[in-house]
Amino acid sequence: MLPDPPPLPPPHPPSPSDRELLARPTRQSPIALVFIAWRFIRRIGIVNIAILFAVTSQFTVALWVAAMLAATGILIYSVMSWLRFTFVVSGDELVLTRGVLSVERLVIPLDRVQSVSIDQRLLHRIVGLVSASVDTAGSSATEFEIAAIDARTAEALRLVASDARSTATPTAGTDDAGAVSPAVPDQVLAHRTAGELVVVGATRLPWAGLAVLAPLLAFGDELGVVAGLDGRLERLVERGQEVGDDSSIALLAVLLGFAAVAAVFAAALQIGREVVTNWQLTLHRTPAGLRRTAGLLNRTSRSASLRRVQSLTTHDTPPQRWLGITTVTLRTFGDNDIGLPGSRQAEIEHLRELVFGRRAAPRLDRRISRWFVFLAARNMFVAAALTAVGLGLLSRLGWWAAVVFVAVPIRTLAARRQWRLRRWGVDDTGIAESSEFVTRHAAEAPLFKAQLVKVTQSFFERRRGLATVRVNTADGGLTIPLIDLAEAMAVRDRVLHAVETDRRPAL
Amino acid sequence: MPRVTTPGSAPGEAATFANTPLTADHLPQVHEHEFAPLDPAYARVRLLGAAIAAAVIVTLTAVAWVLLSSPALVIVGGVVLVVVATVGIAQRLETNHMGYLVRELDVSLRSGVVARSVATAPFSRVQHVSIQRGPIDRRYGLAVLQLRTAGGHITIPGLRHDVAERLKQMATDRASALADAEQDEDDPDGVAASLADSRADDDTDVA
Repeated sequence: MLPDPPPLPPPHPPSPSDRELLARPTRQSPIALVFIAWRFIRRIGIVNIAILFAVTSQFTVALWVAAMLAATGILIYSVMSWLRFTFVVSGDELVLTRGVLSVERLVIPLDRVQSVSIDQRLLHRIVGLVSASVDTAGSSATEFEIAAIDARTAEALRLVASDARSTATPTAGTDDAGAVSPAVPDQVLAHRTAGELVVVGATRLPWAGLAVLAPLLAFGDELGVVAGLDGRLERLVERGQEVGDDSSIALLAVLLGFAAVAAVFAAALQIGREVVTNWQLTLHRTPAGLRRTAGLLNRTSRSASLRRVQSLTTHDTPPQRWLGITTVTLRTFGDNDIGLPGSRQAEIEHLRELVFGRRAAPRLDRRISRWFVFLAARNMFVAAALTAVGLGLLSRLGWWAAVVFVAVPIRTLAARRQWRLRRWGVDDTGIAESSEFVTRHAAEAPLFKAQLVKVTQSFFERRRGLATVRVNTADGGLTIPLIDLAEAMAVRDRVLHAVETDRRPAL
Repeated sequence: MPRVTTPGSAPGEAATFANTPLTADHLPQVHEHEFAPLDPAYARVRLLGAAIAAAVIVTLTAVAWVLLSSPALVIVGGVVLVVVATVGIAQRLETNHMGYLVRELDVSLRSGVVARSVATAPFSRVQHVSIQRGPIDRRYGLAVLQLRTAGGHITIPGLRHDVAERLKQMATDRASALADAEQDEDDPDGVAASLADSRADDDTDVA
C-alpha cells in the first residue's frame, strides 16, 4: 500500500481561452519550415550529399542544376508538409493531420496523452517558439512532435491534456482517485541554484573536459593556440639544461604545470557545461506525474507519469560523497529519464517514497563471489596473450611484446577493489545493487516492476555452482553476476512472487 | 559471521554486512517443477536446417573448385563443414536440454548448452503474443511461440501447432484478465483500463 500523497495546492484548470485556442485547426509556425527542411536533409544524409558533390565535381553545370532541383524539391516538400500538418482539439480528442503524399489522420483521446513535453532549443529561443512532443500511454516512443509553435499554444495543449487525464473516470478500486483530481497545479519537489550546480560541476570527474582539451594540446601547435606556451617550454628546458642536473626537475615542473592548467581548464569547462545545461533545474510534481525543466540556452522540459518510472539509479564521485550529494536518475519506460544532479539524502528519500512508495533503498548487504577477481584476471591474461602473440609475430617487437602482460596484475588489483566494493541486496519489495571503482553507481527497482527474470549459468559458473540473475524492467534492469545458484533461484522466485501478487500496474 | 562496514545505498550510510543465505522456501519455486520437453520433431527440424547449410557449403565449394581448381578451397570448405557439424551436435544437445514450464501465472523457458539459462515471464507482464511458422516448421506441424514483455521476450520453438495455439490463447486470456485486475494506486486516471483494452486488441494477431 502506498502512503498518502503529499498535500497539493488548490487546482488550476485550463482557462476557456486555452480551449478556444485549440478549437481551430492550428498549423505550426512558418519557422517550422526550416526544421522540416533540415530534418529532410538529415534523413537523406549530409554525408551522401557531400559524396555526391565530391563525385560529380567535374560536371559543374549539371551539378548546379541538380542542386537547384533538389533545393526546389526540398522546399516544395517542406511547404507541403507544413501545410498538411495541423492539430486541433475537438471534444476530448486530439486530432492530428499530417503527411505529404499519403495523408495520415491521428486521433488520440486526450485522456490517453501521458505527457506533453515542451522544449525550447537555441534556435527556438531566438525566434521565440517551442517544440512540443506528445507521449501516449501504451507506446514507449514519442507519438509525435510539433516542431515549432508558440509557447502559449503549447502550454494550452499541456493544460488541456493534463486536465483531461485527471478528470477521466477513475478506475474501480482506487480510493485515492478523488483526493487528487481535479487538476492540481505544479508543486516544486527540487530546485538547483547556480551555486549548487557549480559544486556539482566542480566535483564531477573532469574526463569530459580533458577529452576536449587533449586534441587542443595535440594539434594546438598547428592552430597556433599554444604556440607561445611551446616557446616558453623550450626556453625553460634550455634553462634547465644550463643548470645541469636540475634539468629533469625543471622539465617535470613544466609538465606538472601543464597538467595543472589542463585540469583547471577542464574543470572550468565542466562547471560551465553543468550550469548551462541545468540552469534553474526544477523538478515539479504535476497532476500527470513529474516534470523536469532546465537549461539556459536550450530550455528543456521532460515529463513522466509516476508509474512510468521503472528504476532509480545514483552515481557519485568521491568528492560528491564527501559532500553528501549524488546524481539521481529516475529511469522511465520511454525516453524521458529524469536526472537530478546534486541530490541530498532527504530529497532522494522523498522521491523514492513518491515513485516507489518506500523511503529506504533495499539494504545492500550481500556480495558476489570472489571468483569475480579470478575471472577478470583470466580474461585479461587471455587478451594479453593474444595481443602479445599478435604483436610478436606481426611487429618487430619480438619478445618485447610480452610487456603487455603488465596489464594482468593491474587488472587483478582493479578487479579486487571492484569486488570488495560490489554489493547487492533484495528484500520483500525491492532489489538493489551497487558497484564502485572511483565513481559509485547504484541501481534499485521495486520487484513488481520486473518484466522478465532470467537465471543464467555460464560454463565457468556452472562448474562452481554459481549463477547470474538478471531482472529486466521496462527501462533495462539489474544484473547480479556470480552468486550462489540457490541464491539466484531464490531471488527469481521472490521477484516472481512479488510481480504475481502485486496488482499495481508496472507501466 | 564476517562483519564489514559497507557503502549503503545513500551517501554516508553504513550498513552491516551479513551474508546469510536468502531463504525463499515459503515461496513457490520454479526449479522444483518438471519442465516439459519440446516436440521430438523439433530435433529433426534443427538437423534439417544444419543439413541444408552443409549442403549449400558443399555445393558452393564444389562449384568454386571446378571454376578455380584451387585445392585451398577444399580445406576452407572442409573446415566450415566441421564447424557446421559441431554446431549441429551442439544444437542436438540443446534441443534435448530445452524445455518449458507453464505455471498458473508465468511461463519459463530453459535453454542453452554451454551457458544455460532459465527465463521466466509472468503473464501479467505479457504485452504481445505471436506464433511464427516457417516452411520447415509447417512441414513438421510445429510452431514458434513468442511472448513479448516491455523488458524482453521469451521464444519457445518446437511446439506442436495446436499446443502453441492453446498456449497463445491461454497467455492472451491471462494477460488481459490480469491487466483488468490492475489497480491504479498512485495515478488517478483510467489509463490502466484503456491499456488493458489495447493490450487485448494487440493480442489478436495470428501468424
